[in-house]
Amino acid sequence: MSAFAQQLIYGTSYGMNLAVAAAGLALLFGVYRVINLAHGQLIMFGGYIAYVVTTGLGLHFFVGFAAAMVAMGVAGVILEISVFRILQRRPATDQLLASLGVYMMIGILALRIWGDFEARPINMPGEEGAILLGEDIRIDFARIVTIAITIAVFAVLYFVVYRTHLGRTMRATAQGPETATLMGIRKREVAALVFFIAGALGGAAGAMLGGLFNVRPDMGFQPLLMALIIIIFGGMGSLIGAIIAGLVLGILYNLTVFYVGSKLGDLVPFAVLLIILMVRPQGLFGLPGRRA
Amino acid sequence: MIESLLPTRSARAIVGWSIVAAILVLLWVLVDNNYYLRLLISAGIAMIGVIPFGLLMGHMGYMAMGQGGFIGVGAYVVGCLTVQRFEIDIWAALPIAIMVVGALAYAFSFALFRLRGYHFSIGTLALGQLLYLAFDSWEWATGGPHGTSGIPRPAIGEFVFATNSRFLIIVSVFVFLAGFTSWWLARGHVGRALNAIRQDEDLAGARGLDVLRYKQLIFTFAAVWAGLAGGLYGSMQISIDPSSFTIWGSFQYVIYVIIGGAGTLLGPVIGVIFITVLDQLIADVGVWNQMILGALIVITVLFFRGGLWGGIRMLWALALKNRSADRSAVSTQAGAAE
Repeated sequence: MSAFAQQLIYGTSYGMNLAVAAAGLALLFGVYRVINLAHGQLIMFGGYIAYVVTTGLGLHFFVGFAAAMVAMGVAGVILEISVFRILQRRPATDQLLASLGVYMMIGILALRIWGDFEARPINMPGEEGAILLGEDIRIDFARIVTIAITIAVFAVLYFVVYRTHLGRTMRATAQGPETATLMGIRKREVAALVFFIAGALGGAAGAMLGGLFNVRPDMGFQPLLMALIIIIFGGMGSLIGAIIAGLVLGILYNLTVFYVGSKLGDLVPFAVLLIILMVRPQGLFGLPGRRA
Repeated sequence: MIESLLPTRSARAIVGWSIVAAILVLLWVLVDNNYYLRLLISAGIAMIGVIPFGLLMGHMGYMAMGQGGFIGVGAYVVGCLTVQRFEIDIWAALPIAIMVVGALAYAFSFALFRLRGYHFSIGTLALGQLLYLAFDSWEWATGGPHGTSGIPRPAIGEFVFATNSRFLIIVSVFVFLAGFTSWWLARGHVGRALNAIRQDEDLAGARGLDVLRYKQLIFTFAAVWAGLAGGLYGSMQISIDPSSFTIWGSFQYVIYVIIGGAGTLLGPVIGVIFITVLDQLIADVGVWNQMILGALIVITVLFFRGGLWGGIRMLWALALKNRSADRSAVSTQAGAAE
């Protein structure tokens, strides 16, 4: 039972991290109708920035976390200006392709800067501490810290999107870009804002994943794939869907790895995806009848 | 161009694709260097998979990002049948591999074609990764992370295509077949259906086109050729392991098509040639070459949507313009229609 509780909490923390990564993608798709494959590399780069600030400069984890968010937010804005603005009215495949090109470029950049596939650790608060359940079951305090951080991140995100003027302009643009423009909303500002938030969420996910596991040049791919599955599972563009789907997937993954085996655990996301595609292609919170 | 020289379109297609295949074989006469020979074979194998994939991605507008998985299935079925578990002749193993890949692709197409646009790409990406995991973990058939080794080269009677120069002949024949069947599909009602699907799927469906059937046909068609390319790849490499069939292989197909020119048959061929040559030219810069490739993709997508082949056609149209205004109008129209 306590082992189950441990796996539940580990799954929750992993799922929450994935949900943060997926929320960025969901926001981009919801407002901007774009899927940014380079998001995976923003996650990776965010992890490296957190690594440099915390392990390299010796600052507190939260400083590195904030630095990763801001830096990746700015990177997101740069992406918007240099690539996605030009691609606005292009077919979906063009945007995927361009972001794939960016994905490759950022990946090599990190590999050149940090050189190798060596795994680099990030010091997280409460790394040493753990809650003991029973005799040999321990829950690392770091897991609980990440859960707390993600809850805080989602609270801020909710506040920004649903309780501020900027959030209202974002939601208006999501509902109808043309109408929003007619109402005096500056599309470019909204786009920059959305790409900033999405990038910052990617950076946050990277810093946390880097803290829980390690920072590696190829650490962005798995979260990207998971995030893509999560936004389909949750319903494209739905924030709440991304959170719930992320949690479900994270917990399912951890439970399967623990009780069945790691190889089957890797298959879980794809099994979920296939079932979702067969049963409910629009996802949990997607509108029924509107197949994307 | 060559309209007046050859009587029918199919004759032109046969001649055209024969030329592509013949160039491959003829290059072998010029290069006796084994390294370049392997490059030629790799390029030929890539063409076998990419030309049909171009129909799916370019003509139909469905960017599948999981072809690497089908390449792997083809390679591993051949590996499993010839050395890993059975000892079947490779000429028998290749058709079985094709059938397995085709059946697999057809089965998955029911789920995948509930998706469009982005979602389809993500779905195929996930499928590619799923197949990769299968290669890595199903040790009975694939040998797991260590892979399969000892895959034989094909033979006809006593004539074994053991050397690379001989193997290139087989590859060239299949390049011709891949090009010709793709052309044959693209030219008739299937090609028109694909164009209709790319332009407005709902409208096409409303006008009575059995959209799903055409989509499944092309998806399976592209997968089957990818599987054959995989089987030949395994035979070329002699030993295979999962690292050859990652998502990167899928991306490469996409890159060939977009750099060469989506929506044309020759575009992917040019893409393969260009990337192969480029890889050699920038091999010295180490990992930076992926950076250059990435930048090239971004620039192509942003500013040169026709790709290389589109650029060539544009220049061709400009050249014709100087000769006769009438002819150039036709060719620019044709270019725009692509």
